[in-house]
Amino acid sequence: MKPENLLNQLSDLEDSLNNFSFEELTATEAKRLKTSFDSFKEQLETKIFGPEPESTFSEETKNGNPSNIEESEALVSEPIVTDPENGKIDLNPALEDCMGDISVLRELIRLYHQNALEFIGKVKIGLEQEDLTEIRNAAHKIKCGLAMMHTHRLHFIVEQMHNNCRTTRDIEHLHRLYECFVKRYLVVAKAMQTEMKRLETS
Amino acid sequence: MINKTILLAEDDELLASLLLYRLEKAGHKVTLVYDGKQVKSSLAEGMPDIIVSDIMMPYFSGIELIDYVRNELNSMVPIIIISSAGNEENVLSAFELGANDFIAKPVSPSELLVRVNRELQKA
Repeated sequence: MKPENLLNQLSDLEDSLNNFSFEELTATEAKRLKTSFDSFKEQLETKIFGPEPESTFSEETKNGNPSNIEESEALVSEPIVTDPENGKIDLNPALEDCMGDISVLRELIRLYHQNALEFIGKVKIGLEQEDLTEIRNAAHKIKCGLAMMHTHRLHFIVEQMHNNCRTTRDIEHLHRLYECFVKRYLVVAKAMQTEMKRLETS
Repeated sequence: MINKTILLAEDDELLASLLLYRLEKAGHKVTLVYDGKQVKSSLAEGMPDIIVSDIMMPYFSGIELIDYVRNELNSMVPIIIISSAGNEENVLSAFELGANDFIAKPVSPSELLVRVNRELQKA
């Protein structure tokens, strides 16, 4: 397609937006529209400006986390038994955020698990359909909660998935990161349960 | 600084629950909404003393929200934006459109409370 044709089509689209009311959209339609728009925007930007520079990727993975692909690979292949989050989870910082109210912490943990399971489901479907936008959105959504509950390894894996969707777009590596997330999440969930019991009885 | 009304717009339920708890515990009256449609409905019912909003929300982004409040509703109500790291461009746009402050995710509830009270004192 020639640039002027694309510009004309975009201009027509812009005109027709005047008659469009987002309030009539259902949540599913809005999500599909947003996904489709994100994908178009990304493709157009890549065509015009080229792929995003590698430096963005490195910049986003600092803050004490492994900062390059080799380290990301190392994390995936690392035996889970060496993970510091395996045997122990420290929920004290989260409990402090809840001002010591254990019932609030319990609710946060319920939401944490709900988000994690939702993430696992979405990424599974995203991987099956090779829908990187869906995976990227799911990763973006869960990141904050993982960081809030101080599950840093899980947060790091999700950060890698998010970056992968934006930069290298390597489906195979995404599969490995996903499997790594699921395995580690199960261990973290168990450790969290143990820590909650300890806090409730202390 | 108690009994102020806060509109909290955040689609992450986990973060929203924690912030709601802390803000209410501090004595504020908080209306929690999860998307842009609910933001508009809530604003139609009345203007809060302060708005705290995520930058990325379904239907209506935090950026659109600032534009809507400042230019369509002509209100100077303080607005604090919540944003993920790596979203600096959007944060700059938010400030250009009239956001008063921003806080990065993961949000510390105590820090947000300080920022909310500071903006309320200024207003």
